[in-house]
Amino acid sequence: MGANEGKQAINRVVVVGGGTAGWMTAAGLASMLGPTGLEITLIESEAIGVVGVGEATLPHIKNFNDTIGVNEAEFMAATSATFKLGIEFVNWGRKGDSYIHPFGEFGLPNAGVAFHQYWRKFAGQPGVGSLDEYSLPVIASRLGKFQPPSEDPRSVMSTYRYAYQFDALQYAPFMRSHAEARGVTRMEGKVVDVALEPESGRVSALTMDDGRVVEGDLFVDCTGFFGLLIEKTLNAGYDDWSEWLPADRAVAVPCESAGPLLPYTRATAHEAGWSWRIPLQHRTGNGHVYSSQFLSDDAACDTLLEGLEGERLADPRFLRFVTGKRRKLWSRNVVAIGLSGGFLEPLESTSIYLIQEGITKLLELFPADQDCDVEVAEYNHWMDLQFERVRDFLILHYHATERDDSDFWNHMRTMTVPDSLAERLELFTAHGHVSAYDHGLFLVPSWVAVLIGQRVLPSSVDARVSRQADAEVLRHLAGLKGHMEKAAGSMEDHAAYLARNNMMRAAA
Amino acid sequence: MSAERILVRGTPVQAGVIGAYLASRWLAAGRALELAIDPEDNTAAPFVTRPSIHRLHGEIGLPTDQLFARCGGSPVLAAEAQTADGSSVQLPFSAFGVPRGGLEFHQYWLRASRLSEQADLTEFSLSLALQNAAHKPPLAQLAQLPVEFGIAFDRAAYGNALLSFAKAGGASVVESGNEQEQDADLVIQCSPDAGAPKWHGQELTIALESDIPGLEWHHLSSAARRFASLAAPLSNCAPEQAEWTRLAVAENERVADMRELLSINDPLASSRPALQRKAEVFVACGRIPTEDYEVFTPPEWLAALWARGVRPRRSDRMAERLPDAQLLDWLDQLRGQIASLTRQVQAA
Repeated sequence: MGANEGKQAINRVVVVGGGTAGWMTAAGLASMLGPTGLEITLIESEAIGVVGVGEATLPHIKNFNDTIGVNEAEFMAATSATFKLGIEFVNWGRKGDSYIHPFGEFGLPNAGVAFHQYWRKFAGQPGVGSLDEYSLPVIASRLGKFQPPSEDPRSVMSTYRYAYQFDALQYAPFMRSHAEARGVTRMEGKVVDVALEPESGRVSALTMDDGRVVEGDLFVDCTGFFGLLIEKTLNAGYDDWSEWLPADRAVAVPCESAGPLLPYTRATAHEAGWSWRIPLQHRTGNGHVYSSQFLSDDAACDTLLEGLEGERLADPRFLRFVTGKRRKLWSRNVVAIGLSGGFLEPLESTSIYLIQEGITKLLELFPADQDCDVEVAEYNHWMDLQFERVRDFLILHYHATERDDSDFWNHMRTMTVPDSLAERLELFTAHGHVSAYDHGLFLVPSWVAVLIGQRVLPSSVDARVSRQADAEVLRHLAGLKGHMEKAAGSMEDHAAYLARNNMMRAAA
Repeated sequence: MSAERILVRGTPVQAGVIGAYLASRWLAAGRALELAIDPEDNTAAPFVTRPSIHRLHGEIGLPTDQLFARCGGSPVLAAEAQTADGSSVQLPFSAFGVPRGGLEFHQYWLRASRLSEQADLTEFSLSLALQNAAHKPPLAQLAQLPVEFGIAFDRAAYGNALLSFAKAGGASVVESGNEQEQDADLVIQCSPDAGAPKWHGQELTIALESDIPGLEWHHLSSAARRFASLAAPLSNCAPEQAEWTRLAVAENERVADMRELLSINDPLASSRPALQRKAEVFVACGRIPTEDYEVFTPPEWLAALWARGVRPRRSDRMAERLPDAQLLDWLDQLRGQIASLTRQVQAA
């Protein structure tokens, strides 16, 4: 007798909502569990628009795509995608500043001492330059170059990873075709009623606007901010983090591409928020995230439109949000993935990462039956940790600033930050040491990139740096910088790489 | 006169591990390192190291193969610990079986055992097979096999070798009682009696535990490596002290989890939250969740849970992707390969 015999087995999953989160979830479940007989249905309505979240991604998405069998060239062409080696932050530490948070390392460690420690000791000396100059992905980004990393760990070409920038409105259909080819059933229509089991309070069925009833064992809420199942039905509750991240609105608009196809996203700080610029093959995605406490919608829109680098392609579209997350991302038999689960502004392109993490964890803990309180608790524990650690990293961007040119920046610079972040800052500012954890998205090089990029310089350096003669370190720095420049220079032009590898979308 | 001076107190092997690492990674002009040796080390048991020894030796340039030969080395592929009922359990450093399709082997085993009777999970561990073989393979051969291993050394010989290495690197070695404590900016105390590790003021205490082989090594090497990685002027290092203590305490909590798992009558009734989480999730779905700063590897946790009779109530659904016949064939082949490999190694 099977362990779950007699209990209600979970064999039917219903995904509600068909944007990025919905189709990624359906494709992930179908690829990994479809062969086990799991039935997956996705309900979406063409009458309901999608937010189209996450045009910019993190390197982890490549793992997701590889795991579910996505062909990279087909994916790139289908979604008008470009490669991404990092994110440029403009005007964050001070107006006029620029640094890139790369998907890779800075320099190379020496005798166990992190590279940035050596750089810090000699920063400001002639020829040493900025920390950026010792990062291959940063140099390549500035040059508009791209090449996949080497698998040889001895090569400097192995010191980075890459992600994608793609058209989210094309990504969902791409994932849809992938999912449908693996057996996912799509149903067109709106959900007008949600039926709950009287005793357990679990969702049992959804009624659609044409009267059809869809039953399921497990439901995935991908209905965006609305949270049809997780909030409107189950009242999971919401942890509001606007105390630390007060931006609550965004306005987005695409424009024509202008200039070369750059392999990085740009985030430019403004009076009360920041704007993104994401270069795609066929257009540039733009948006302005801001706090309505400090800036009006009109002013935010004006700032965005003034900064466009090409001809506007559509009317500006406004979004409202509350930064935070659901108290329970999995409640009863409903799992919230995507914006229905929470929202953290896309400053570090974490939206799709959090979707991916939600899918991966759901697969790992996929329950056999409805007796799954432990799996539910574990899922929520894990996702809470992921959200909180991303949150701290985002707060750092706003808090580690010298800007005092607006009420917004004065507020962000002087606010009390979570203890976990305050302790990190204290450790780094002393002697440049970075507290590492095992379970979190952002690793040591990411913290170093943002801290130093935003002028949080340690007052002193690791005491071991003095073990090496100054002249020797300076020689090493010069050699490394030259080596990086040469390696980046040898890489292919980003647009040429896309074209040569049949990754460009065919003209409509 | 040195600007900074560290005094390390411990037995030869304790002061040796700390001293060798700090001599290589911390000592420099203007710094002094003194090792005050308590010669009264009556521990007869070998000094067992975990697989991280290879990394540490590599970092500081110690020749593992030479030390292996000179210090009575013997490979260790699993640590042996005692459980509440007086029996012993072997905690292998490497995974059971081999993962497949991103899923750990034991999930396939769980499913197969529902289809037909299977040999115990422990029979699918190459680490345990080699550990329990009459003769251990030579170091060079082990390095070619897909297993992690530590080394058990003769305690006195290894301690003396490390002290010599530290001395060659600039440390001074004196017998306990002859040290100059009053001049030390920091005293590193290796203590089996300390309740918790702590770096505060001018004293850093390494709380040593040895009930699970390899733990003493772990605490010493981890303390030294972490201290070096947080290097700062000893007169101005409050944030580094707090960070060192935070991480060392976190690791000790994970060790305490394992100790409780091995010693408590009902592991599912533990009041330790992290252990309770591990046990409950394992029972629910066969996964073993990890915390930040784990000391023991997932295969060690699996072996410990298994030995204490904790069993998952189901296998992972992803294991069902493999057709029944193919699954059973694969397990047969795998067991055969482990037996064959063990025989080959014995015959070599």
